[in-house]
Amino acid sequence: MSNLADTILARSTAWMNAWVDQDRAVLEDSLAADYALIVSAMPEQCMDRAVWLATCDRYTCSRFVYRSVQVRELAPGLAVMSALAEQEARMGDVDRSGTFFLTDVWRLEDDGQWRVSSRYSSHPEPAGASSAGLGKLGRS
Amino acid sequence: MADLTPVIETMEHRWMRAWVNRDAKAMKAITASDFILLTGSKPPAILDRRSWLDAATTRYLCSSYRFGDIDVREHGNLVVFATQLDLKATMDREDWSGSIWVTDVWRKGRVRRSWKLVQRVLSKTDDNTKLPAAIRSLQLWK
Repeated sequence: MSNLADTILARSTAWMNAWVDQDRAVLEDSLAADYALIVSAMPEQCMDRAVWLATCDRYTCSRFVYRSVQVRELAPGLAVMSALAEQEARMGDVDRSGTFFLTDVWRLEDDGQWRVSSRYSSHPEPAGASSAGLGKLGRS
Repeated sequence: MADLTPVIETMEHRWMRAWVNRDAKAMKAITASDFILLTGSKPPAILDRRSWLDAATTRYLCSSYRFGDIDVREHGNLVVFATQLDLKATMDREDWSGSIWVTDVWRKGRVRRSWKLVQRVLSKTDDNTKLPAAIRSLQLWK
């Protein structure tokens, strides 16, 4: 991975570890002021920074691991990270454990720190014909 | 800052209609040279621009589409468009229709200042029926 990819992955891993550890300072330092979580089940109702931080005591995670991470700097100071995420978590009475597919937008801010400004949460497509078929269309 | 939602939504329809019409020229005009299509699968698969433009007019064909609720978010020269997409499509004549979650990244060009699609991520919509109610219960303004 490139230096930028390493940096973004390190920041994102620290963010998720802070979620597991309930480390409020790192959580706040990871999120840009305009952070929003968009969940594919209800894209019309995003969760903003204040709400996400306020829910961390009820939306709790005990294990989190990234897999198949892809990071691209698509404009100066703007990077998009996509990854599979395996988590064990609960949101109130709802079990949120499983594998998710996440796409995050990271921004380099004036203090020289990368912060996440949005997260798009969905599920991975099941392994099978469609992903295998698309893979075959690639030339690389 | 002006709301870019109608601009990006129009670009999305142009891109999708070019796919439906198998119009590689129209699609190429609004697809960045470093475009990738990434499937959020296990493992993920990637198509580059050349592979996508070829596939979208020969083997992976779309006959119709419909966007669900959309979210458009600006990040400087990038805009992210996210939606549920109902797709009628075939891959090598096999039915690949269904509902998918699309996260598209549009980038404004430095020279011509036009918007081009630089990344499309395809994954599966979260269909946990308990989730919307659980999230609503977390909304502090209610």
